[in-house]
Order: sequence, then structure tokens, then C-alpha cells
Amino acid sequence: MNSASVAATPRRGNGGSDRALTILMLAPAIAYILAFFAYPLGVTFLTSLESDLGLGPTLMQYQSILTSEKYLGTVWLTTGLAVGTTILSVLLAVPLALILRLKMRGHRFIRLLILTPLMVLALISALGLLIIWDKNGWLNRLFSQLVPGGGPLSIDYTVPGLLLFYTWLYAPYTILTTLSAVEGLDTNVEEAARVAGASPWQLFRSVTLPLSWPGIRSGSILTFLLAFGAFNVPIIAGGDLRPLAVVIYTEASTFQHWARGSALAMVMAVVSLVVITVYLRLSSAPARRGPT
Amino acid sequence: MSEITYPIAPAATRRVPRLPALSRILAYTLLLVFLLYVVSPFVAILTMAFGQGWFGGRLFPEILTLRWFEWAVNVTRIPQVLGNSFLIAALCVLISLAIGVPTAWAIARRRIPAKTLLLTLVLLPKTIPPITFALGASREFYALGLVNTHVGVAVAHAVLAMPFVVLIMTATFEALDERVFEAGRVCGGGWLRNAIHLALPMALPGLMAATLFALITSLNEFTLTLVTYGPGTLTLTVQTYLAIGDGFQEVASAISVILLLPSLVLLVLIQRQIRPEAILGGVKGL
Repeated sequence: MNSASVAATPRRGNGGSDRALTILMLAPAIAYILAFFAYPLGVTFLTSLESDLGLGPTLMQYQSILTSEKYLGTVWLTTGLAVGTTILSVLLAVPLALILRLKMRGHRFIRLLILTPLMVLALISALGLLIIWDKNGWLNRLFSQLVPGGGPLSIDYTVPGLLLFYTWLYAPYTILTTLSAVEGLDTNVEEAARVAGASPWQLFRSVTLPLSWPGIRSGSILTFLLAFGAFNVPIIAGGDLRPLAVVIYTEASTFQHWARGSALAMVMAVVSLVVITVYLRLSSAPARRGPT
Repeated sequence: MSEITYPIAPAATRRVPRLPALSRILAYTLLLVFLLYVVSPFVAILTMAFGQGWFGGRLFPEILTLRWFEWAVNVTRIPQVLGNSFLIAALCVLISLAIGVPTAWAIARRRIPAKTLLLTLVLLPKTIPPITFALGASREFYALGLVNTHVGVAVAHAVLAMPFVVLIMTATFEALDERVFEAGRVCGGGWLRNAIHLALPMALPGLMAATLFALITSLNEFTLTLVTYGPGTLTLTVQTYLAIGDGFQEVASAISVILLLPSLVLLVLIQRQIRPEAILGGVKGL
């Protein structure tokens, strides 16, 4: 393993033609990203500076967004849903990974199950979730039967409902990376902690969790990003709850208010980057508490 | 089941100790709830697709029927839409592989300055929501005449698929052993023969993973399709969306059932051929 990675060190470039080849290999990707990602993003930005009267660059769209309770509410809703989904995904992923690594009977089937939300069209799952959690849906009936006196829950078109749907759809990313991290752990370290007399909770809190944290982190970032940008689920299952992506799309397509939509899109990009940065800062802490 | 559980399991025979009975019941309960949570929407879709008169608080549909499938095929022209979707997905895979594989090779095995910066640039489209550049993209694609063409929609999809290809292939190429190529050169193989007979077979699992991920990205992409599609390039996502929006839940469910089959095939393929958790576990650059 070690010798292989040493042997795999890249060859040194031998002159100009070699460098030209490297550039030739990289140029299409860079050009592609610039042409079909950076450029449209720039167009969105420039559009966001247009005023309602078609006059030159202005910040009026941003001004009306940042002073409007409606839009600020949308930003909070979107961020709240994404953060909530991320937390729920971690709460689901960690126990699930700890159980699955025991390789109990049926663990292969559960592993396959984790992947299904990734493989199936999100719109389809949103529709299925709407039907099954309906007031008269099967799960809601089951719940009313199990909890005496508990009437049917309002799940569809509510915030908890959207959290439930988002988690269904986006938790697999957290679960997969968490599972990969937990199964990649050196069991000897845990063995050592156990021998040293650590209680199961201490073992989990001070050994297993910190050691698998990088995996949990990388997956939960993906979950956050997807939940924050969610569009197809809320457009079907959101009802009156309209997160940013839906509002942006409606502004542009239904109201033909491109400038407002674009400004909202820019706000969305900034909020997303800010939350990710904060999360990366905060989440690097538990890893430091790992055994040294 | 009365088994003595040792506080410390012998490491040589069992890596992880077995759970005591109570914990095992708890564990299975959690797995059961998870199973119910994940599977239930599919059961709902199946019932909706084959049933008629399933509303107003009825526990089961009034009658079972195949008419929604008839609708899906005749009215929403699913075969044609399916063709569109797969053509676009295939084009998207081709574009992302053609651009992504050389880039991944250069990043993994060649000396380049600012490697991290380059990787970040390529991964950038995955770090902010697609709607943010979709608005600008719809104007750009319209100006370029790419709207309502299969290539146009595929080009848009590839913006999101290519980063996956680069990510997976960089990890794959980094793991290749340079000594094998040296041996190939010593034996008189040129770069082409080395590529075909050595690099390709060794990188094949990664290549398959990349292809599958690009394919799924394209088939599932909704936002960028919505801003680039036209009547001639209606895809499954958009058609399903339109069917649900028009209130044809049963037809949408029938479409979904038709779609479920290829999805399940892909699922089994992925589970058999590649370990997705290993790939996603590599996503640490974000």
C-alpha cells in the first residue's frame, strides 16, 4: 500500500510539449465551467442589478428583498428547513451506521434501501410521500391507531412534513458517508477504550463519534446543500410553504420579474456559502477532541 | 439464544461484539421504522397507479385497473418522453466523460500548479443551488439556440454531472500504480497501448461508477431541465411534474411505476459493482 502510493507519484513534466498536453487536458473542463456555470451566474448577477424600469445598475432589488418581511421569511424558511434536515439526517445516520456495521441479518437489504431515494425521481417520491402521509393515508392511520387519542397528524404541506420529506430524500448522503466512516474505523482503538473501562456512552462520545466525524461532516454538507437548494420537492409538496428555489422560479417564470428573481438567487448563493463556511468552522471542533 | 456475551470479544474471531438482547430488539425496531419510512411512498405510488377511486378516506382503491398505464402511454406519450430522457442522459454522459476524464487524469497524475484550486473550480457548480445559475443559463441557452435541443439540455445537465466524473475519476486514477505503466513502457508499449491495455481495465470500476452517477444526475435533473426544455425535448422529470401539476396523480403514479424498473436495475447494478459509500466518502474536498 505504502510503496504503491510512493510509486504513484506523478511523473515530472519533461519540457514544453508535456506542459502543453497538460493544458490541453485541463482546458476543456475549465472552459466548460466558465461558459456554462460562471457565465450564467454572471448573467444572473447582472440581471439582479436591473431596476424595475429598466434603468442602469441599481441595488434596488436587493433593497426591496432585504426590507421585505415576505422575502426574509422565505430565506429563514429555506435555511431552517435545510439546517433541520441536516440535523435529522445526522440523528438518523449515526445509529443506523452503528447498527449496520454489526452486519446483522438483513443488513444488505437495508444498505440497498439507503440508496433508493437517490435512484428514484424526487418528484415521484414527493408524490408518494404526500399520499402516504395524507390525513387518510396509511401511515397517518397507523399512527392514530398506535397512539390512543392522537388524531391524524397534519403532515402534508406543513414544516414538519417538509422536514420529513427532505430527510427522506437527502439523508442518504449523510448515511452513506457516515457508514463508510464508521466501517472504516480501526476497531482496535475502540477495543482499547473498552479494555480501559470506558462505558458504552463514553466509548461513543470520545472515540467512535470523533473518529467518524469527518465522514459525518462531508455527507451532512451535501445533505445541507441539496436541502437548501431543494426545488422539485417543495414545488410539489410545499403547498403554501415556498422555499427560495420555488420563489425564484415563480418570480422569473410566472411573474416575468427576472431582476427580482435573480437578486433572490444571489442572496441564496451568499446565504448558502455563509452557512457552509460557519458549519465548516464549527464542525472542525469535535475532531480535535479525538484521542491523540 | 442464551449466549454468554463477553465484555471483550476475542478480536481474532469477532471484530465487533454482538449486542445484548435488549439492544438487539431496539436495533431491529429502528431498522424496521427506517424500512417503513423509506418503502412506504413506493407502496402508495403502486396502489395509486393500479387503483381507481382511491380517495375520500377509503382505505383501499375501489377497483384495480390498468387504465392509468394506458393513459401514460397514449396521452402523455411516455415512450417518446422516455426516449428523450435517455438520449439526453447518454449525451450528458458522453460530454461529462469526454471533458471530465482527461481533467481527472491531469489532476491525479500530472504535475500541475494550484491543484486544489482547480478541483474547487470544477466542483463549484455542486456547491451552490442550481437555480442560482439556471436563471442566467436560460437566457444564455436561448441566445445560443440551445433551448429545446437534446444537446442543449444535455450540456446543461453536464454542468452538474461533470464534477462527479472528475471527483470519482481523480480518486480512481490516483490509486493506479505507476509501476504498472513503467512495466508497460519497458515492454515497448506506447502511450496508446498503455492506455487501452493498462489504464482502461484498471480504471474500469471507477469509469462505471462515473458513468452511472452522470446518468442518474441527468435523469433526475429538474431545475436545469425546466429552463432549457421545449416541446421536442420533454423529459420524464418535466412530464411527471406536469402530470402532477394537472392533478393527474394516478397517471403520474403510473409513469412512476414505469420508471421504477430502470431505477431498480441501476440500483442493483450500483450495489453490486461499486461501493457508493466509498465514493461519497471521498467527497471531502468540499
